[in-house]
Amino acid sequence: MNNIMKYIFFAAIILLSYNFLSAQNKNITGFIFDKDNQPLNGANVIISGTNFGAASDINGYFEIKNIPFGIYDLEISVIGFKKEKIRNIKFYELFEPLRITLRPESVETDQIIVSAGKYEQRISDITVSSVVIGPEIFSKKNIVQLDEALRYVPGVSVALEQVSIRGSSGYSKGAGTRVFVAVDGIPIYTGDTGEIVWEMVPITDVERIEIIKGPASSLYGSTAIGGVINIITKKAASEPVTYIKTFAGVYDDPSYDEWKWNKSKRTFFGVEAVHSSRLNNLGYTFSIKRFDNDSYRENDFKKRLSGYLKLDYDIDVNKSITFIGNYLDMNRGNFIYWKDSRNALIPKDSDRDQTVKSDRQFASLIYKQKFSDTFSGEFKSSYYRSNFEGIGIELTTATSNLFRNELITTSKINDKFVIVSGVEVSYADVKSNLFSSPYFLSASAYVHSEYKFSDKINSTLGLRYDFIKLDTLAGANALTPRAGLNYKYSDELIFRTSFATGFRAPTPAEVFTSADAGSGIMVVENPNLDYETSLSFEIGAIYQPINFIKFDAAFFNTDYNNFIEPLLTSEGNIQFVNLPKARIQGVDFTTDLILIPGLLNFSVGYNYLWARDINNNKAMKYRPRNTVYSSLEFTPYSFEFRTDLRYWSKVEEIDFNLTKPPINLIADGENRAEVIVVDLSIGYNFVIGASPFKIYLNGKNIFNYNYVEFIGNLSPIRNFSLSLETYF
Amino acid sequence: MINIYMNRKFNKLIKIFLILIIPFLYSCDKGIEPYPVETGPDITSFEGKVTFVGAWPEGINRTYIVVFSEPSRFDVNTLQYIIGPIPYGVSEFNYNSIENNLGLIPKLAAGEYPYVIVAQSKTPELSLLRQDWTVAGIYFNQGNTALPGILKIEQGKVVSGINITCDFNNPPVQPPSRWKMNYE
Repeated sequence: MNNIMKYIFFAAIILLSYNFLSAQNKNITGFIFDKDNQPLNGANVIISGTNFGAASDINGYFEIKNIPFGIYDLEISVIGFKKEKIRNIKFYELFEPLRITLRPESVETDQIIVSAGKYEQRISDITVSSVVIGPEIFSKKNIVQLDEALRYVPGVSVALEQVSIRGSSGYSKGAGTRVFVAVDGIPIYTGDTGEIVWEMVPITDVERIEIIKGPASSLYGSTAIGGVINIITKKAASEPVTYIKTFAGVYDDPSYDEWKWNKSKRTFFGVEAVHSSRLNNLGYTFSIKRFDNDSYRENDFKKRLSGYLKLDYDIDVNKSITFIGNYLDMNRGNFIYWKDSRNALIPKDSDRDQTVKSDRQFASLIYKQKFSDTFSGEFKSSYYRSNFEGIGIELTTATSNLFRNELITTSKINDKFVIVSGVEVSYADVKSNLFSSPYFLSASAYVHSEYKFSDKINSTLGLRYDFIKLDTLAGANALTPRAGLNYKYSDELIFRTSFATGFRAPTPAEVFTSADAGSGIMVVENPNLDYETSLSFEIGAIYQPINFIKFDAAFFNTDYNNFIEPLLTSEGNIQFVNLPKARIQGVDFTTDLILIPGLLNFSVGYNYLWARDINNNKAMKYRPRNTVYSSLEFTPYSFEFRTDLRYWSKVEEIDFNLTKPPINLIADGENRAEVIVVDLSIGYNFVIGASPFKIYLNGKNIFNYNYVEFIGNLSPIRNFSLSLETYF
Repeated sequence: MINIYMNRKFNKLIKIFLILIIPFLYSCDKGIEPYPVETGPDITSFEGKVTFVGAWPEGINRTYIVVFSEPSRFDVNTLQYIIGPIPYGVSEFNYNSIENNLGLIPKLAAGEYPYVIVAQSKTPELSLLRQDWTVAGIYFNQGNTALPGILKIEQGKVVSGINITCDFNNPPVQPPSRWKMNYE
């Protein structure tokens, strides 16, 4: 607790020291219009976090009197129109009346997305299911790591830290991914295990997160067989802006006396600072973050320090170059499995005091050039170094270097026809006593086209060729075609359908891992592991009868060949093997409702998933059949209230053999239940001096419901946090 | 004036919000719980006699009665219980599954087990690999040797008469040396 107090004091000193500007007062005036330039009468105009406010008159004019000089956020709201927030108004520079235009309130269906075709498209035009998440969620729910936000996206599930879209992955201890996770289109999976290190995602610089549900191998290659999560970063601010956030939290006591293992409260805290600005043609953003978490479990602590730098330089109107650099240093306990269900928060005796030290560095360069109004090119180059040391009875080490280059061209043949093509080369080398020291090489080429037959019918066609060579394994070739159709039946109803093939090469970790898993169980290599392929079909529709309601529904079916899964072999070893046939079918249903425009929003998503191993006629492991996600958000004036519900039905199939004698690797591991988690968030916006502040109180898992996402790992118990953020 | 108006409206909105979140705040059970500590003796078990016919092979280091959950599938994935060791060279061995439990697997749950055998191994150390074991005898239901007999265990009861004959002169059919997974 002393550390927390120290951090709060430190943060308060930093924050308050910036808040003494002029004591002079002035009036703020302006006009409010609708999109047709008609004045809006009765609109409330409020300075966030203050009692200063006014309503617009019949001419749309408003005047707020006697405001101290400073930098403010202005909130403008009127029933039927979307609440507008104007940030960072430098009141001491403001002499002209403001002109503010409000848009009608509606659920957004026409957002821009770049991940479906590697160029800008409207969501209403694309042929696959997609979701776009804004960055507000990170503040509102005090999210410090992206996978926490993904847990609330319908159709996406996260078990421990392993993400899956529409059941594409179960759980494999971080070895391999079936979701292409990228920052500005550049993948961030490691060269050895192929896992996503979520701490590397710069969430303070996120403009939006685009999620493509379903195979996208024909554009993104091997790791996109389950879908795509593309994090789009912000452009640097045109004026200097500094953002500071600090938070502290505490875990509640566990539900049962048997689980109490520590007399003092377990805490977590963090602080981060971001600065962004522009010097002529050079925009820059840099940030530094510190995060310490004691954890509610023994030997599960996490301490991390990360730094981020983004530079974007506009060479001229047609050329630009962007650099992103990211560094992460982490030290954490290695809680692998619980001792048993009566000792759910302490590790097995054999795993006590095991720790993992890791450092990761990521650098990327993006060069864009517009050659003409119809032809542009983009070159992306990246390097990702990952290094970790597992310190236990034995020292396990792995260092990997992943190099990647991609050239993309976009040709707009005419208003109806667009072609995107590209070539891609990547190489990884690994040095490890876990996976030996293999290398990995891939080369690919792709072409993707979009053709509009009319205003109502849009089609896509794509093809990708991949060559992959993993060390001693024979080289593999794959052709992955894809086709899709979008049909706008009316302004309210849009249909989409697509066929896609997928391809995934095994990662070095899946092929070459050779390690002791404990209890006499060995993870053994499988040099005969084959690559997996898939064929999927999807049909879906968006229906928006009025601006305040949107429905999105989809049916999907994916057939896999040679699906790669970890399995306990007849020899009693864990090995990655190919399941000859697997099928995943399901439906997605999401709806967004604006119950009271500008005040009360509700969304709910339901996903039914039937994933089965065809040959053995049983469910695939670690995939819940039913999932429900919902959120309710209420934003009166300067307050924000939000509650989220997450439900998973009980997972049917797990590694039962690991949970009982004679192996008994995870005692009582079959002890699992459905997942019902409710979170609550309360926020308040206010101003101190001249700077806007936000304060959030978050209660996560407020009913202290006990559940596991993976066997032998009790998920976070009830915890509360208080976060404070400001910018100036 | 604007403040009074806002306060009234705000109070009303708070009430609406609370009513709307009630569906979220329904009570539910607490999810998973710690398993209770087992108390009192559990008599759920089976017993019988193993009869050996002929001369014992040389070099046998251990002989066990082994229970599997799937017919003719001899591997660690289906292994449920082990009784033994049976002393080398005996002609008969009377057993009870609790009294003679090897201790590697503490308990056999109630249920049906379609493959109960006597298995022997020559390896110096205990091995779970199929290739290190030979099946010396199989439990059959009342002399029906067409298919292995099904052992039916009921909670709180002792099942008797699980007798197995091991005829070293006429050894039984051996299960596959390595279980062929459907996807191999």
